Amino acid sequence: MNTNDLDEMIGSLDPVTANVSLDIDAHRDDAWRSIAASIATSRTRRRYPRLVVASSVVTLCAAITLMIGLLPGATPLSAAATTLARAAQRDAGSANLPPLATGQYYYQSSFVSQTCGFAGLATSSNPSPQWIDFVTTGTRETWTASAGSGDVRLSPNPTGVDGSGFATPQDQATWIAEGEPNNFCDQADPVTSTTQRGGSVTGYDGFGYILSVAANTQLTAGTSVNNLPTDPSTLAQMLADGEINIDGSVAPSPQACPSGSSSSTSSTGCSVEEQAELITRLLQLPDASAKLGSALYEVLSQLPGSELVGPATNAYGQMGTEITEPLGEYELLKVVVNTTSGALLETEVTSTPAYSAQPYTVPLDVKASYGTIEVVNGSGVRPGAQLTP
Amino acid sequence: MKSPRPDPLAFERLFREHYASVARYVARRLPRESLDDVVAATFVVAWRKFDVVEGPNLLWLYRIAGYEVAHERRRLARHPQREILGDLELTDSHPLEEVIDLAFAFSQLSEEDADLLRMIHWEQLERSDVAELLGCTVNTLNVRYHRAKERLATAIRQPRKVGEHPQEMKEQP
Repeated sequence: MNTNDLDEMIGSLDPVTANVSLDIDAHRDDAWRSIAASIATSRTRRRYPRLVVASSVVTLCAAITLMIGLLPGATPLSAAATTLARAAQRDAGSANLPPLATGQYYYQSSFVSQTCGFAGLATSSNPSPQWIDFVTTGTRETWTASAGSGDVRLSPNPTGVDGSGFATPQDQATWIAEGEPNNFCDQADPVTSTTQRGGSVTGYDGFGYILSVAANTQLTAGTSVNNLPTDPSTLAQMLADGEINIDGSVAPSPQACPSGSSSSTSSTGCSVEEQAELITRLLQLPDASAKLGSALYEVLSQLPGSELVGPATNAYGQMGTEITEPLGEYELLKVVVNTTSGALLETEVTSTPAYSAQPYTVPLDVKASYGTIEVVNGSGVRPGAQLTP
Repeated sequence: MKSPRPDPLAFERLFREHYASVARYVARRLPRESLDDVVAATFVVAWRKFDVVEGPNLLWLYRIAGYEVAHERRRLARHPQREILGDLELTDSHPLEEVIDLAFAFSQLSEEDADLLRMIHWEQLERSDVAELLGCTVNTLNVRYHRAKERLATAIRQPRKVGEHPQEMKEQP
């Protein structure tokens, strides 16, 4: 059998024959109705895109920025805002991380955890599948090069009932009773293109939805971010007018908010939420300067609504100050920040009782504790260690 | 914070454009009875990530479908089933015995080799697309592809025991 014969015969093994194709095509509308019903009846999963990202020096600032930026309304500065403003001043005055020599990376380790809810597809025999809680904990390590590229390594820990990840025996029993529906909270990463995330991600399996967002974190630096003004009032106005694009470049005039939010209703300019989204994206860029980060801090610290809880410690034993902020009606944000260094130590989002009372919802909890950023001599190298395989 | 929802019309366009390809992809890898659920699960996952991923396309859907297929295989592994080979489309140029030998040899390949051949010969993807799906360079893919075909050719030459039939050779992984 020659090569051409082999190629042709491999093709002949395809189980999708013409009849199967016709059958598939005939089912398309039915399939869409089923999928549309599942989408319509399922809970919209919350997005916490900024809570589990910590890949650079400025990323420490990013989550704080997000959280504070989400505050609605316009009331006088709270104690928390004052605390953050002070942190911003300290951050602006502090030295940046040492520059990276060739082959060096900024390394950061973070403890991450999430409680995620999922349910099977609605069917005629089971139109209202129950929600099931799934827990994931692990470590997220990032190596960011001076060019902004880098690597993310996720290492899940066994958790839940007998290491299964199910939050309770009842959750596990429900999953089995419902025919072991697909666990959306325990899936591998469907995004493979490094151009979409700026760096490689390994060890994703098991981290589910929340960390899929983290895995998409843009490690690649924006080209124009440090050309932005560092005067907070100017920066605030530009953000409100929608003049700052997500890569840090500046539009020549006010425009529709470039945050990409499909829910935007304004023809020009950004809402507070959209500003927060933009600022968070900017702060995630590894080469954004501490000075810019400080200015963004300050813009956000002018937004009221936060409450100062008091001293708190993160998973690494680092002391800081805890601040809470409601994220709309259903979620509460907790942030631990070192007000001396300006470093973000911990973030957590928990659902409120109002959220739990909603149909098709279960409480969610997403938490990340951030370690200190250090310089290492290669991707995959941990501080004080040799190159790991 | 606003929770931007994906654009349902855009998502429906994605579905209508790629449903058949995704369904064929799944049908080539799982028993018929798993097809509807796995295809539906693939698109539900796609919906949940539709506003996160830039430029959702067929390759992205294949990637999701690949994980859903693996998940379904793990589930099926608890209740082993026989390998499903569809109806063979025979041509005049190859006798039945040759096709059966090939089917048997194909069933002996590793899943990695088999899936690579499926993607190139059945999904008829470009080499560059397959390389992206597998996370390797085109050169690496070419090497892997030719080695897979070599292993297939070698397996064809291996004598088969009397009575062995490809559909009885291998349980679902």
